Amino acid sequence: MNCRKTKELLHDFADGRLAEPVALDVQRHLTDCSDCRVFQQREHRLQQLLAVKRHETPGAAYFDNFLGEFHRRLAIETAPRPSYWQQLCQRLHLEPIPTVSFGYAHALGAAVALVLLWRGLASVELPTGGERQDFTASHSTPRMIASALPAKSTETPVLAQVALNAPRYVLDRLAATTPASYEVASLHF
Amino acid sequence: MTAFQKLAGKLKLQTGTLAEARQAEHRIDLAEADDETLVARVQDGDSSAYDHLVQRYKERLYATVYHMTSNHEDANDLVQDAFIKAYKSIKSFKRESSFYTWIYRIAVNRTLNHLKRGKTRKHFSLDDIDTHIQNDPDFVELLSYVTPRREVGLSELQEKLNVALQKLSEPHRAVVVMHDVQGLTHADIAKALGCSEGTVRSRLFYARQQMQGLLAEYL
Repeated sequence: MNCRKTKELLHDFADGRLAEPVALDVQRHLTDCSDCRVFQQREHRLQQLLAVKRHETPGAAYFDNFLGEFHRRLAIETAPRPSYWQQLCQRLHLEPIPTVSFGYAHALGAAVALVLLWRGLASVELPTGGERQDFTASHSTPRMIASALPAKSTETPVLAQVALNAPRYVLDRLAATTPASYEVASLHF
Repeated sequence: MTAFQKLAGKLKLQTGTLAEARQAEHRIDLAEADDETLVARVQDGDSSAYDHLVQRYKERLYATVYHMTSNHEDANDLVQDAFIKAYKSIKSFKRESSFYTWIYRIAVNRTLNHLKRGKTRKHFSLDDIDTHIQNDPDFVELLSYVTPRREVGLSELQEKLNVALQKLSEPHRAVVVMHDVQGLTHADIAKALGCSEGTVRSRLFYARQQMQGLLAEYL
């Protein structure tokens, strides 16, 4: 048996936990090896030194309030946690509104908004039939401008007449007289 | 007062006394009950049974955690945490091991995690040494060997021991405390730490070698 193996088995050897042949081997090695004997002695003294730790005690009165402290901590641990809303209010040093009331306020606001929206939509009267076609036409056309102007008398005003006869775009007028062409006859390359 | 009222008063008194007697009997029952019974009661919703488990094991758990942390306040916090954690998860405790083994594992694992995170208080706050040490044969023998060489105070020894223990890594310290201070067997330590007995032996061997170097002047 070598030194390392002997050192590993020293405690079991001291406690009598080794099988007889192994214990005999350790005993034989200790007789022959002075290094291992010194190691064994130092191990024994270390054990005695560690015995000091066994006598460290926190004092008689220390555990008197242990159970009370346990209950106090348990109550804190198992208490319901505040919601994010309550935590935010706490951080801002505000009086927290109860979450249920806050929910009701939201629901009421949403209901009011829905009613207003519904009433607003109901008040709009959409045109029907042929009118729909005019209505959908572009408002930027002169015809529409003319029709939008209030009729002050039965005679058509001059401005309205001009607006009615005016071509829609410049290219419209060109198309009516001469076709648009980018060819210039006088230029030859 | 009518006769009827007198009778009603007597009956009420008797009922109250009976209830008190039953409560006292219940308390005695729980104090004498074994761990399995107490755990079963807690699992059935009787939280007062858990108080008896706390009272039964607080000192032993405190000692283990204290020796690993060398700090009185840390030990207190960690043992309280372990009891709270065990209480909260007692419904899932399947009683395959004893309650003590289970809570011991919880306390040791929490302590090891705490030490790994480096959240320990940096200073030592050491407990007093009791007077029984003067009768401890190990200590008497040690003094007879050490004192002739140099004058050694008990508080100095305590301080040096704790410094040496804190220089060990957490797993090595745990093994030394459990085996050499608390006297647990290799098998029990292996169970508590969730490792093999071979690992326990190996850690113990290296930890002792290191301790020998750190405490050479007293050996």
